[in-house]
Amino acid sequence: MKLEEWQFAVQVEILVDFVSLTRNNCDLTRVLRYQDLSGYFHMLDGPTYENLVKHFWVRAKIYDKYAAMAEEDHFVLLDPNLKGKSRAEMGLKEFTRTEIRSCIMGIPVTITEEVIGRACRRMLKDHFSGI
Amino acid sequence: MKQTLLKGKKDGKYGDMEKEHKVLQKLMQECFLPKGGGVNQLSLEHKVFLHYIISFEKGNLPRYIFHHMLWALEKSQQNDRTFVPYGRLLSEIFHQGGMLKVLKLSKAFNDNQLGTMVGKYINGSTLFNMHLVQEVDKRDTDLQESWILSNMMDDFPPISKEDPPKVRAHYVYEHWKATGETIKCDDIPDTMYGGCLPIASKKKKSKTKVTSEAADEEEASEPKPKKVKKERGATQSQEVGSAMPTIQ
Repeated sequence: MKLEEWQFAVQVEILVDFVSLTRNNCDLTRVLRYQDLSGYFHMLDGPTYENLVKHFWVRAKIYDKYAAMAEEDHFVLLDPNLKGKSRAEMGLKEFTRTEIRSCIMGIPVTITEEVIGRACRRMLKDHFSGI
Repeated sequence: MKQTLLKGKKDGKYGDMEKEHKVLQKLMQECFLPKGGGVNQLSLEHKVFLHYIISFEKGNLPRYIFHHMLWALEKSQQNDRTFVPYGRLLSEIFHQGGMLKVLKLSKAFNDNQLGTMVGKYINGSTLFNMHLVQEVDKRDTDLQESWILSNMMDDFPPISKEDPPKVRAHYVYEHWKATGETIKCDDIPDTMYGGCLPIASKKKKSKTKVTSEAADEEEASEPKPKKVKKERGATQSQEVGSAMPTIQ
């Protein structure tokens, strides 16, 4: 990546004051309650750690099916006998979903759709295979 | 989709949308799928999700967010896009993962180093700025940024290095008598914690600092430092050179 950590600009989500909006004839609660978003807006009410986010973003990598295939190719290059074998036989974990992988101060952080759903304090209704 | 959003017009624009839809579009631009740039541009992604919300069909927000995050990450790696979306969401994930607990325990970082800040907010005044209402009904109960407290501020001592040494020594002594814990000189912050975090802004310059007024108000609310304020003039010369006495 060409960009340095200090060059990034973090976009922070804005808080929404529904009471004030409703008083000014703009009632969004009915629409948004149907989408089950109250947990999400509660979550927005908190501090943002700008430098941590930048730290995370610079080191983030997308682990999707192409990355998984590249990983397999790398293993085959190291050991040609593994060609045509499954991921389990290569000693790799089964690829189930797309992930964003990064680390903060040496601690690995993985973000998937479920993690975001949990952070929004909301249960996922349907399962996302990611492939 | 065009019927719900743009009143059936073929080349519908932002101006054709209804008032509530405009506010929803602003929410979309700022919260759900932040892209940067003006609110007036309607991208297909925004239109589809708005259509879901308005027509009461359930949309999977985490999936949209995750895909938008992937898109933004790819863009920033390939095309040098400098915007990092979902600052608050990522912070919440770090918080839930126990990351901040570890950082707090290590005591190696404070809010300045972590770049802690809070987001802006939408309320009636925003509607006025968007020219959607003529008059605003403001009240004291409206949301304030300063209500949000940092997670790092659990046991912040109500004294600072701005206070004279006598006050500091007395506070440390009282604290030791009450809890049996000693406060080291390094643990005392340089300035009084004003209770509000800097507000996030698209313009980098407008980061607000803790105003001296807020610090004064905090001091005024506590009886002890108020008395010492009068003595401050006399003790000021000592304050600079003297080292902070600690009780051990």
